[in-house]
Amino acid sequence: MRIDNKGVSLIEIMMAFCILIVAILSISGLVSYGHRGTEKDFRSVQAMQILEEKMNQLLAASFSKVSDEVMAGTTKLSISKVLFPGTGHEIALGKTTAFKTEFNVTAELEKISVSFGIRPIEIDNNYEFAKVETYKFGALTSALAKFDGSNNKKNRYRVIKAIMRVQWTEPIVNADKQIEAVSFIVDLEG
Amino acid sequence: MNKRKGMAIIIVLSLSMFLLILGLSYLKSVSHVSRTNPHRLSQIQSDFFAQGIQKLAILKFKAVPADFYHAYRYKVADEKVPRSPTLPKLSPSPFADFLGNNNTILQNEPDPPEVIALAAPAPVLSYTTEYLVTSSKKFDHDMLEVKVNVALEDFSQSYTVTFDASRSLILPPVVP
Repeated sequence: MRIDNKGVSLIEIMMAFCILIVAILSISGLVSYGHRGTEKDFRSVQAMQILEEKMNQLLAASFSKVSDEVMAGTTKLSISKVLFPGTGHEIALGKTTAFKTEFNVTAELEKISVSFGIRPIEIDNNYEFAKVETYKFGALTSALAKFDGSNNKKNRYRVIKAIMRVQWTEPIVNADKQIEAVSFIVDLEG
Repeated sequence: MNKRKGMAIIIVLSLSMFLLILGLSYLKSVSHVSRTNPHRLSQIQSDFFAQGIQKLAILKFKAVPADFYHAYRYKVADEKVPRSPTLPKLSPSPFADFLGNNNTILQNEPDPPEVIALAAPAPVLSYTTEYLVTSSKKFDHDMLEVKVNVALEDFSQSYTVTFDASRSLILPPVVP
């Protein structure tokens, strides 16, 4: 009896090999694309961590310390250096490298004028704290809570708008990216 | 008929299919991370902005505490059921004025929504602030609760901070 050994022909092996090569190339392309995406995401996450860390450090600083940094005569300042050097509470802004990527951290500080509207309580002879019926309120005004720097003591600036910004360049596509967050440093001492 | 004929292609196709499924599931997990990242940034921006607005609300309270307490006491009396017939009706109430109308520093809900200048460049579309006075230690202490609601395009959250706002009577020094 003759044994049939023609089950796997050369053509069949060649075809299978070609299909395997195409499949492997496609999959490696997919994995490479995914890897690039992962690296990009990792850089974004890294930038967000830097943004959070630096902003938290800045918000932990006292108003007077930050206010001294925003020089007299100017209300807006862009900073990319070490803040509060030699104090033990330095905040390192500027260039920093993480995950083989260079991030540039800058802070923008701006003294802003703020005023709050209220209807002030008017106290006359009928006034009694325990009796709400005796309360008299004046007209709406913002003169009593106004912090616009017009007077050094009472109306001094008490709010600094802080913008923290992290910038980096995406490799391969060479695109500039940046993320930023805004908060306020407020003088609650006085 | 030879049963082994065509087996190599079938095996290769099965292997390719398996690799394709692996690759696609990997891509899916990567794209999920990409979708999460912008939300994380929105959350960070919202957190920091809300912290700032809470401080502004506390600044306002500290600047005019007496006016705050009188307006708040009036609001409580005004909302009491039954309402006292001798209590004058004020509209808008002093407390509503204290909170501020729309487009003031503690309240901002532009219609149509747009990025608010005070928050720029953070993409905050609206925010509101509320105050609540509560008592603790058998009403010996006042606690002031400041709640800030922040909305971004794809994210909104409320933030509450509570601090001791007890009042103490300061008597003038006694002159002998």
